[in-house]
Amino acid sequence: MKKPNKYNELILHRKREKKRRRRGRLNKSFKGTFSIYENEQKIRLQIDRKIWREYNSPLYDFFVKKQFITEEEDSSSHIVMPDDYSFCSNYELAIETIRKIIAAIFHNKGKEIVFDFSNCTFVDQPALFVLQIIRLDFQEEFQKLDSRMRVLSSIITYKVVHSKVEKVNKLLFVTGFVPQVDLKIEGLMPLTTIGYYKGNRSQKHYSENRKGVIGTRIVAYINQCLSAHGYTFNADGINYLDGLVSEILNNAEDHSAFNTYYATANLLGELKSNGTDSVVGEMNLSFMNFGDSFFEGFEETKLKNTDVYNQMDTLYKQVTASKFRNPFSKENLFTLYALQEGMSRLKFEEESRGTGTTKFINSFFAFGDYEDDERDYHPILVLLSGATQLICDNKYKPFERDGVFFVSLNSEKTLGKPPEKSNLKTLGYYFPGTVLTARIYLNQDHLKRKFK
Amino acid sequence: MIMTEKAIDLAKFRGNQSTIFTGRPQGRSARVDLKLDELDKDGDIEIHFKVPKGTTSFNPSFYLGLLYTSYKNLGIEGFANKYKFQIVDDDPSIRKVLEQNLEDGVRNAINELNKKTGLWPFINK
Repeated sequence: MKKPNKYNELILHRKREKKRRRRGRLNKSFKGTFSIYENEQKIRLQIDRKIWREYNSPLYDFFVKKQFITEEEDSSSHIVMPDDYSFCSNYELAIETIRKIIAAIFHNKGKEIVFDFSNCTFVDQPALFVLQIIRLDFQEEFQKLDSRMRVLSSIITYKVVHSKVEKVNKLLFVTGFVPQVDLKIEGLMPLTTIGYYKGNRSQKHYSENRKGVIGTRIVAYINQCLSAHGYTFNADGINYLDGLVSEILNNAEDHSAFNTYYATANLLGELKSNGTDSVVGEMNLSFMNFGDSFFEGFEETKLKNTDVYNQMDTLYKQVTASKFRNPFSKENLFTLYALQEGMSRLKFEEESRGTGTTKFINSFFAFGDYEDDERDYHPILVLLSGATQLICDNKYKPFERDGVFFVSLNSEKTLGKPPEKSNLKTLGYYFPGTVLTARIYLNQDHLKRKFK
Repeated sequence: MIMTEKAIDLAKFRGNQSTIFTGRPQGRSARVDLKLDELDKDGDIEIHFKVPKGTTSFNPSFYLGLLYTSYKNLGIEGFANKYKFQIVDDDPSIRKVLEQNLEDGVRNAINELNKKTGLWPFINK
């Protein structure tokens, strides 16, 4: 057997020793890495907490500035929706609920919020639309906040507790609050929804503006829905619908404080006819912007916009001069006057302004005149702006005088007399912006007769 | 005097994926791009705007943003002599609605020039 070479053994020993030391050094440095990592996490968490603490939500601040909410608002994360959550029949309570929800969202970042509809027996689309926009807008803000943080997340998860009433669940489904719902097939059934569009008013150049695109998509979507029922709008119908949608978007864009405006559309329809008439579809279009109300817009520019403002003020004083109790505020009547052709808060900038509202109101009446008392199908266009609610229905249509269109909301067809109280109201709470919703019933036979 | 005809295709001013001409600011930005202020001054040119195929609406907001200044510069008659519209689509129903839209634009422009809009008809003198 060969004798071990002491020299080789020594070299081997030294090599092993060297490796051991290196391993030791590496282990030591691994230990160091972990502690650096832990420290870094701590620092990141501290930074995140600082970002979180110092975070200002533009939307929340806007609501506070407009005195729509106070900072002391209850911030419970379980929101029990009222029995009647609707703008049309229970506006004040619906707004109180929205205020609670805004506080809940702002004070429960990163947590779960429950919208509990279990006690709710009635809802309407405008109230759900506003709630959905607020929820989506805050979520977008929180996503931006999250992009600045490394450890914490401010994103809120939402849970919706269904109502016991099928009609409520139907609208929760239509407006995107619940992804699915079991429904009995009767009356108007949800067909589809286009989702929520967000437009940007800074896109003033023709090439980048989305109004035309949004308008085109909404119209194409509605036509596509109708085609499933065997009919579509003809060129006339499309043209009126284009006018309705795009001019409302123009208006929303003009009054937005946030550079943004929102639109949505959905369609409900009967799945079988009542035997005497073809099936009816209910089309709902909703638009909204946060910002100045119609009235605030006119008040803001009154020093420059003197001619238009003086006309409004003179007529307001004339109409309210009656010895009888006047139910209308200055804001109410200014909102009505703002809809007339040629009236604009920016008339001093461009004298040709003030055509959009007439266009969309005329478009609404052009094909929104199908009614059915028996089935309670009544088309309606509701404008909610500041503390004013204005309702256009088939009772008081626009009229033409010497080539100019007016809408007076009274049977006398004159703005020199007060409008009908049912169509112009003062609301108990101020809304910081404008919501416009149109509900139109589409009936194939009626449309065929109308647009031959 | 012999006028030179200049055709202007409005297709690019409708916006991508849109079938609607809408929006006052968009009409105004088209006006700037087309240098209509300069064209208004050139008495030898007659403009033929081509409303492209696939258009479903031509709203007064865009019409007035694009052309109201020309109405002011040229007057109603001068404008009618200089600016013409040609609807490219052959479909008679589409041509009819677009013609109505353009007429509505003209009605609005003339009402403004003649100061006919506003609340004056209802205000007691």
